Amino acid sequence: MATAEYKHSILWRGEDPTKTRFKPAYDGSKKVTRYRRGQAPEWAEEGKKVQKRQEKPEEDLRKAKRRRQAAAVVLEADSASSRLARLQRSETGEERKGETGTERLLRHRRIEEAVILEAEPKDEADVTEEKKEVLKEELDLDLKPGVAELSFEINEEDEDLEIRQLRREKMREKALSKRKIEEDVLKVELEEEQEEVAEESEYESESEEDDPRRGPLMKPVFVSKANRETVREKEMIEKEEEDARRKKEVRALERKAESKVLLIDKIQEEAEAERLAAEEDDRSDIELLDDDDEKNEAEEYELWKIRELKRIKRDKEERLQRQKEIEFVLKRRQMTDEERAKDDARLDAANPKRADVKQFNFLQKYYHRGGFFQDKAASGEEALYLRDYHEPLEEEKYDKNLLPKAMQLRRGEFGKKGQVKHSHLTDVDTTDMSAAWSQSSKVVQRYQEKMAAAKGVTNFERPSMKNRLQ
Amino acid sequence: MANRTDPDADTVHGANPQFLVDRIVRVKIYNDAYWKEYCFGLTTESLIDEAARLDYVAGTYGGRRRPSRFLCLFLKLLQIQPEEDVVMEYIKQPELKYLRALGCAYLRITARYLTIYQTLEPLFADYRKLRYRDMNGKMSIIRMDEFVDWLMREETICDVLWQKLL
Repeated sequence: MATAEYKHSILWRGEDPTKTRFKPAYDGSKKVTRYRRGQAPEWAEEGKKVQKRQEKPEEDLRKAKRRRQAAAVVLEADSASSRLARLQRSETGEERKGETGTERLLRHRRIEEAVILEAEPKDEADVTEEKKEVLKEELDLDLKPGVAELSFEINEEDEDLEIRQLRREKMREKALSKRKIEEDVLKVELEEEQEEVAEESEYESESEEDDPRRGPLMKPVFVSKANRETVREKEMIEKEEEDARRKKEVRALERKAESKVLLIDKIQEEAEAERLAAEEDDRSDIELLDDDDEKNEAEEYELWKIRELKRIKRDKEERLQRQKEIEFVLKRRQMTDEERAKDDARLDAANPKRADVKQFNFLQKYYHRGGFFQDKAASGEEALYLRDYHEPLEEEKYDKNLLPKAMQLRRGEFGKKGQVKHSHLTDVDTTDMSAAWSQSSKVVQRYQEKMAAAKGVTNFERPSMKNRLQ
Repeated sequence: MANRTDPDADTVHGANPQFLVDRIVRVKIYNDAYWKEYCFGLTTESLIDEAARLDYVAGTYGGRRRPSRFLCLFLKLLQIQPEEDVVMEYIKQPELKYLRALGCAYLRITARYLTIYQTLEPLFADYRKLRYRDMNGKMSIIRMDEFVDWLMREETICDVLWQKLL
């Protein structure tokens, strides 16, 4: 079908937009999730829900517990563990009546006994045995109750990083174990005491979840200022800085002195040079050249004579020259034309007009000698004009065909404002060399000879009887 | 003011006599210390004393083309324009050869050609030594007759252009 309305005909020009119903490009089925600040995306909320579900029953339980308790708290007496009981005991203080200060301090002081770990894990087994021994030695040395842990690090400067790391790991594990023990204890207290349980347990449960590694805190042990590592480090750094500063100052002073000396030397040199120069200029020169006339009278007289004679000779020659010129001019005026032509020829032969034309190299620059002062050039007075300006330069002597096409230009053209693409005329010669008549083949040569009736020009053989007969 | 030609002076070759020295050289002389200090207010008599102190004959020399004392006094002569007898006296006197040279130079540039020929040619007999300083500053010895020869023939001596003699 060939109507314009048929979709697949060749006359089809596309759908008529007025006829079809407009469908927006928006697809409602697809949901676009927008990001809003502060709002967690959908996929992030899944985990939270799980956690929430886990926590919820515990919290509820606790809350329920709290609600069950009365506002006025009734303490249950458990003298062994409860704080109140301890307090009561201390108030009475029966046992401790005759106590001295030190005894009291000892009582208050909580002695941490060293907890011996079980078998060491396999990582440490890879460490060299030397380091192990060192560690052990250190441990033995410093093992005092309560002061053990922190004072390891006194001699850190001498040891490797590894030992330090090992020690740190050990301490951590100790701390961990201690903490576990304490936590157990606390848990027990948790279960028994009720009004404090709510607050504490929440704390502890949270802290448990957050820092499983912290465990029971290490007891801070006093290290005197002299032994403190940090202080020492600081002092060392300060010392180094001071040393550096002092050195700098010293060096600066030295440099100043040096520069001063240099300056003095230079000034002296300059002054001397000036003096010499000044002297040379006027006085010494004048004194050197003797102006005296009484010295070599005879010699002077001889020299004068020579000069005088030369001058006379010169004058004579000039006069003669002048005379000749006048004669020549007069003679020439009287000549006829042919004679003049002959005379010209003679003169031309005598004085070649120009020196032999020199062959230029490929792309050698032509230097124009200029139109002025050519009389000086001719006479040879000015030495400059005696030079040969057609002599190629160093850069013009080598073959420019070796260069890339862009660089095949005359000297002083490449890379400068005056650079033009035109290099030489034969470059733009568009003669068709393939024409039959322009080729120098034998055929063409023979043809040319024939046309010019120059048949036997290059044939030097004698005409033989043989050819003639045939 | 100090560098003006004497108002009573005549023109030489149709122009201000001082203009016989090129402008550039002239300005150099005007700015010279010797000119300012010693050549100020010179008369024909005091000039003799100054000429007596001359050491060499030269034009401008050196890198910055410093004018020599000879040249300064030469310009002074052009400025004051002494009479011809005075100049003749300068030339005739035998003692001060540098003054004689100065006189020759002045005569050469101002006098008529006939006078020049008549006065200077006998001086070819004088073969006394003179110190000469060329443009590069190099000192050499020339003779008086050589100097006169130059005056007669050369176009430029001592940085002054001389008209060619007929």
